[in-house]
Amino acid sequence: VSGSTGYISRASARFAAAWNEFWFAPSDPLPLAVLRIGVGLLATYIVGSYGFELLRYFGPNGMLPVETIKDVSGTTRFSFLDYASDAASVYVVFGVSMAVLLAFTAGLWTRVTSILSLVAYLTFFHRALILTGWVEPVVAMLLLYLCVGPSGAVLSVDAWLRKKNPDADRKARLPSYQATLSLRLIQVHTAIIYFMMFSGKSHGNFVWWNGNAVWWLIARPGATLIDLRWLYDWPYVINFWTTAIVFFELAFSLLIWNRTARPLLIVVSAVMWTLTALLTGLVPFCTAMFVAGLAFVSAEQWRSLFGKDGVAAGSASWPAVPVVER
Amino acid sequence: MPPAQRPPPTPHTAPPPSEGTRGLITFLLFIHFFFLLVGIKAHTGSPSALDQDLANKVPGLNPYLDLLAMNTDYMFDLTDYDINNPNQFSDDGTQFRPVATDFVVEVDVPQADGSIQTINWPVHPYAKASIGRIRLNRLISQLVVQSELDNENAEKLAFVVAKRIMAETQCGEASKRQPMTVRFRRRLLQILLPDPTLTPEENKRILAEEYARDPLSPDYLQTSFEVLAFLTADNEFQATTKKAASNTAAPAGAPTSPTGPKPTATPSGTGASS
Repeated sequence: VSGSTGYISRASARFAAAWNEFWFAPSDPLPLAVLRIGVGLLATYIVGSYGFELLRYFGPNGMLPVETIKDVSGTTRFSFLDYASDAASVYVVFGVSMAVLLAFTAGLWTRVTSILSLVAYLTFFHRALILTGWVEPVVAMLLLYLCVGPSGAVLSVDAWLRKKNPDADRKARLPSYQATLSLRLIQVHTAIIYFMMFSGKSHGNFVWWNGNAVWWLIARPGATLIDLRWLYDWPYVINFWTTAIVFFELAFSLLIWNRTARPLLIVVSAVMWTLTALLTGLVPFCTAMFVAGLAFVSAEQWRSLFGKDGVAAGSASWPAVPVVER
Repeated sequence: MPPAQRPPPTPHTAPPPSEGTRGLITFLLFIHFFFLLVGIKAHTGSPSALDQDLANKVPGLNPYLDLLAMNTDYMFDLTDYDINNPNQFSDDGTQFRPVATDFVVEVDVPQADGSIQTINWPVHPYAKASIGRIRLNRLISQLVVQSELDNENAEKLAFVVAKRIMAETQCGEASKRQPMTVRFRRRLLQILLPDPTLTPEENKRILAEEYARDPLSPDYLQTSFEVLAFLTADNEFQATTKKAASNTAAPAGAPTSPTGPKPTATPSGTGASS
């Protein structure tokens, strides 16, 4: 009995230590800042693209009246657009949303604009629920978790403004548990998405298992960005490409946690999502998935990728602090 | 929450969280991921009774996930396969038909001189792979799929789309004399997988013939839903369904609605997701 008790006690202590290390060990805010820029640009593009058709969808004679959307989607979700009853107020909501998203992307008043960006983004997401596809939930997830951490600590207008106050600037750049928490949430959720994408393809969807799914995508008119119909003569290539997509998704969800496999998976994801964008025409979705995967790139890797001086010349110098390898 | 080794605060890191803060965050993490995983599981094609009960009965679960746009299964399938829709399988279970396909909105616009001008709406087409095109495709996809399931929501959606088209084409006055007609049409495409019973040359000939077809040819499209819309003398918008899920325009051998006769070939189609 005492042996069992000792085992449980040791296991609990190890689990608690690992848990605290995973979620609460301080880490550099640089990866979050890079993600903020990528996610901010994506969210700005998604909301901004409504600008060309604002009244077509949300205007007084628009195609998404509140009551109809409520009936069709079977749910009511809060949106500031529900209170915009005329064209002018629709434009105001759109303008304010865009201003907030641009400020967040640039890293201006980031702590506030990160939360406001999520609200602005969800305002359009909830009202246009029946128009949303796959990219929107991914970007919503990223925006939510970026609210948790100090994503404006570096590479931001905030950092540039803080230059006048070196002490405050140094404190803002310090590795923190909030940065870890934010990054870990993105990492875990991204791994879940990859696993579910794999699961969706393996869960009775035989076109992915019989190796023909890529041909289904190639054969669709007007969707692919380049004409790949010449692959009709290369069925083995189609089979291999289809299988590669399925197993890449499984590998990413499981092996991304291995530090040795991580850089390789990030590089493969760049190739995979570029090819998938060409294949499907779903550029925003493929970009969002690639950006989400960048949460696994450490601060040190970002530094070695861009070079210390190159980024320092832009808006902020790197913090001279020890970096915790994530 | 067992005690943990807290790293001593140094000038090189921000203050670590207190034990109470860590406990609270840990609790919130458990709640968040519990809600998330139950939501994911409940949205998959085959949730267990426990999944469904948890999703429906745990207080706050659905509103929480709805609010954060996380009430989804994340099973993004690039081929628009919908595991919940048994109609996507052919009778022998070997052929697959996507729910979302490419759609065309064809409108007979009444003119002031009494004539009719037929247009494809929107008049200014979207750029290839643009998010605007994807969104409109999703809207029309929902409308057509709902109509094939005999859901009254299809009519509601069709009416608001027709109202918008009337506003954009400015045919309200003319519609008092002759109604505007909106046809929601599904674009058809035969599957082009190589047939192992044919020679490579024959397979290539079939492929060439398929892609030589004009995608806007009437023979290439199947009307799924049709709406007549007009303004009353009091300038009130009125609309009525002319026919739903009609397959009369489908070419011989082409795929039909999921509830109709099975096609001789399997259709492919363009996706409407992003």
